[in-house]
Amino acid sequence: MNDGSPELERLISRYLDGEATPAERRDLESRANADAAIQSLLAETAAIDREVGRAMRIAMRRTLPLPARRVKKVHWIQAVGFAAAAACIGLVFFLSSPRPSNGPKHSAQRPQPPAPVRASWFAPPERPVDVVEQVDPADVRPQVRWRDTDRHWIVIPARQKGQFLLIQMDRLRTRAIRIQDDF
Amino acid sequence: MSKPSEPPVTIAATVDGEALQKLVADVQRGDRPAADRLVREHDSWLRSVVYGITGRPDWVDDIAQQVWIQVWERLDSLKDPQRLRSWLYSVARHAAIDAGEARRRRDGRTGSLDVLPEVAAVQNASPVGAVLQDELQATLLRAVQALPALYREPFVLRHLENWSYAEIGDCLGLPVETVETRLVRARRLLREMLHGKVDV
Repeated sequence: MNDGSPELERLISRYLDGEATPAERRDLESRANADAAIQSLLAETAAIDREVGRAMRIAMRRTLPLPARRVKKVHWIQAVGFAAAAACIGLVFFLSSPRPSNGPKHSAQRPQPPAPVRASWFAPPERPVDVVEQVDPADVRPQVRWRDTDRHWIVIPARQKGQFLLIQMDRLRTRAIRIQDDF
Repeated sequence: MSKPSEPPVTIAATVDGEALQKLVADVQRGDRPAADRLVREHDSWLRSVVYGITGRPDWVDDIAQQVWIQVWERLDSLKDPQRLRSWLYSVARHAAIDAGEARRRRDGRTGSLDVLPEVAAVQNASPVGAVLQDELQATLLRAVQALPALYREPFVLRHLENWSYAEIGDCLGLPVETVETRLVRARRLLREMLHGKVDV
């Protein structure tokens, strides 16, 4: 079935792909409004485009394509507004932060760890130093071996002696690839 | 007489070029985060290329994996990082053609149980509606598969990647007019195959 002239088909294709010029768009829309056959051809092509695109995206597990990125221009008044808002937030942080005072020092009764030094007002507080837990030396892998089996196991020692978490791997997928010296 | 002005080189293009050069150099040196970034940025459209060439969405995962293995093995042969996209396209195209032929040979020998990919569950009000929707989905994918690869390739890149004619032409190494003609023909063939099957 081929209802349209090659020129019309090309115009419809450009129109659907967003490649038509404004003049071409107006031309096609006015022709479609004046001629039911052209309107029908345009509607059918658009519907097939939409449905086939949707089917392909589902099959390829894709979401709708994002529209082309456009850089939004920021007016200078907006820029000044953003800067003022940032300055206000900074001032609030500055005023609400604890500062050294000359009053009585209650902290002398109970020794407090030194507060971590922060590089910036906006930097997150530094994490405390990790504590290394002493592990019972007896807490080791079991001296058990499986023989004559194709199964693969991961053995993880548990908290209590003699207890282990066993994970059986049904499918172990590995692939060896050549590693070059310069890559 | 005034000298004809040369096309302006935008700053963005220069920065992009430098960034691309650095990315490729980092990957060639074995920088793992750079390699991850390369995959993140290019995996999607390479998969579309593979689908465009084979017409089989259910083959894409396996072939894309082979493509990336070949990319890592051959990346040293890429001398001009600016040509990364066309180089990746070339690797993907050859891998897809080879894998497609191998699968067809194998299927010809052994008989294939391959059918069109399992259609993702579409939430419908009724089971009947879901079945009809699945049937339509399968019909649409069969129509895409029946397109000649020549026309299917730009059609898939247009719909899945939302690329412009110029971007498609740049990737496939074709003039914009040829891309346009192939898309017109793809749409004509799909219209012929699907006439009356899609609600307008």
